[in-house]
Amino acid sequence: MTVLSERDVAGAPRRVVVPLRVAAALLSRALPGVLFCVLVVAGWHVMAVRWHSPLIPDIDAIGAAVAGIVTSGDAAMQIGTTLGRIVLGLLLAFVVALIVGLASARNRFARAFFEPALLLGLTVPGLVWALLCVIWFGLSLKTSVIAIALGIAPALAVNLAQGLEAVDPQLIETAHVYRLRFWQRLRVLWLPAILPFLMAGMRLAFSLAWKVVVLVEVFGLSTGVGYALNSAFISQDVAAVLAWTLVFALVVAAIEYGLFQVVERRLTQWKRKALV
Amino acid sequence: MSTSLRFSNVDKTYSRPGGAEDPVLRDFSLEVAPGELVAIVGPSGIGKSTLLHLAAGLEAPDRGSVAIAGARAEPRIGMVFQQARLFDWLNVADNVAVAVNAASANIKRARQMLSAVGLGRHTHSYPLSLSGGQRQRVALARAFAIEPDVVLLDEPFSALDELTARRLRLLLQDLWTEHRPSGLLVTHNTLEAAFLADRVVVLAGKPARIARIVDVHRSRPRQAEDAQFFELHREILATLEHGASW
Repeated sequence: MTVLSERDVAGAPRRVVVPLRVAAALLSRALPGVLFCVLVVAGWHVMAVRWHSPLIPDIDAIGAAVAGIVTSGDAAMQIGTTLGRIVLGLLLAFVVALIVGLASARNRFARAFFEPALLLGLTVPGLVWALLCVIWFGLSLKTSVIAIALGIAPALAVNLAQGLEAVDPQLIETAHVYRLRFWQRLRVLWLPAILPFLMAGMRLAFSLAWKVVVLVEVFGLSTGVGYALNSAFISQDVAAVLAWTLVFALVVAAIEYGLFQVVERRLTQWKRKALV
Repeated sequence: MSTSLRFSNVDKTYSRPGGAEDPVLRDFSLEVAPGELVAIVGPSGIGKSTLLHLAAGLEAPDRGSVAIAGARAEPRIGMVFQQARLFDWLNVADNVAVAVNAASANIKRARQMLSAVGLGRHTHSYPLSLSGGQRQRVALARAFAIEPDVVLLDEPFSALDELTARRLRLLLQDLWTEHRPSGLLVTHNTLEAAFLADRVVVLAGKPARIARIVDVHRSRPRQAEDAQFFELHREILATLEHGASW
């Protein structure tokens, strides 16, 4: 609920709540997206009725499949497993990217040294890492974690290096003159300066990570969303494939809106305050 | 404070792209006495800012030494640049507090200094919401809040309109009178140099050498309209013009 501030006759600040205006603003913001979803569902329904094929299950069948995997707890378990792998892969990738990104930003030789690896890493499809890791490491947790790390570390490292290079050298000088200690520099200079690049890198990494992990689970694991999708594929259960895709997409969207955007808003709230 | 700043036989040469050498300072010596403010004037590119960078420890001399001799083992240096160089994501109070904390000075000084520079009601504001003059006030507050031994001023008012610059010169004079650090002021404005400094050092030549030192015999507080400053301003300008023909 937005609270507007205005001054009363005496000049003292007075808070005015305007829920209707807020509701209207929210509705106008959400309307295009909602309209798109309604059209997709309606179009799908028309196709399902028109062709009446098991390859195009109707909305009721998809809804029943979604309800089935959610109420049975299967969705929570498999998605939880997949997300756990993603988090571990992200952590490993972040450590690697931090080392490579820092070295690349601070040292010309290191930048040239890592450049071919980053270029290769950015161009190799996640599918290749998934296949290679299944071959190398077999059916284990490290397969998915290493495949994710290999798939996303280059993008993360490039973003971090760009962020570090973008830090204003005049502010670095200022921190030096005022003898800011290491932790102070990290807190008031480096982290805030690289934050936009870090957030962009994390979002990109997350979107790449879940594609890689699903592939690994399809090829070589017996748990996770990829495994569930593969099981549905083998039994030609299109409704189940769509149900798993829908539920997982909703979870990914919830993480984007409920985590990344919230964290970003919190960390950049100074901009809104500065521009008021 | 009883801290002095001394440049002794300093050489500084920069390597330009293409390998060319650019000698900026050769055998340069200057001493800033405790509590003294010395202004450095001279043409662009002569090495004025290099002197400040050497004093701040941002660069090292190729030869010779730059020494700050005083009471503290690790002298406190406050610096005000042409741009305020504030951390945009920290509010005004935190911008000053972070320097105060780093210097292990009394944190109460941060708020006191902000009140002293007329920003007591803007402590929670962010730099982007302030005017250029207000940002420069924050930079001054930061420089003096750490209870500095040395204050270095690199064209601090050159990016401001004249009216704001005039107010800030008076503010700087007040702060200087109260705190008495040693300091260097680099400026292109010879009238500003005469008004603020105890001595004005005119640089000329390549590598730079001291063409003339002009003593300003006026106690503080000074009046900007004092005719002597205009007289000194003309003298300094004449030296600069003469130096340009060397």
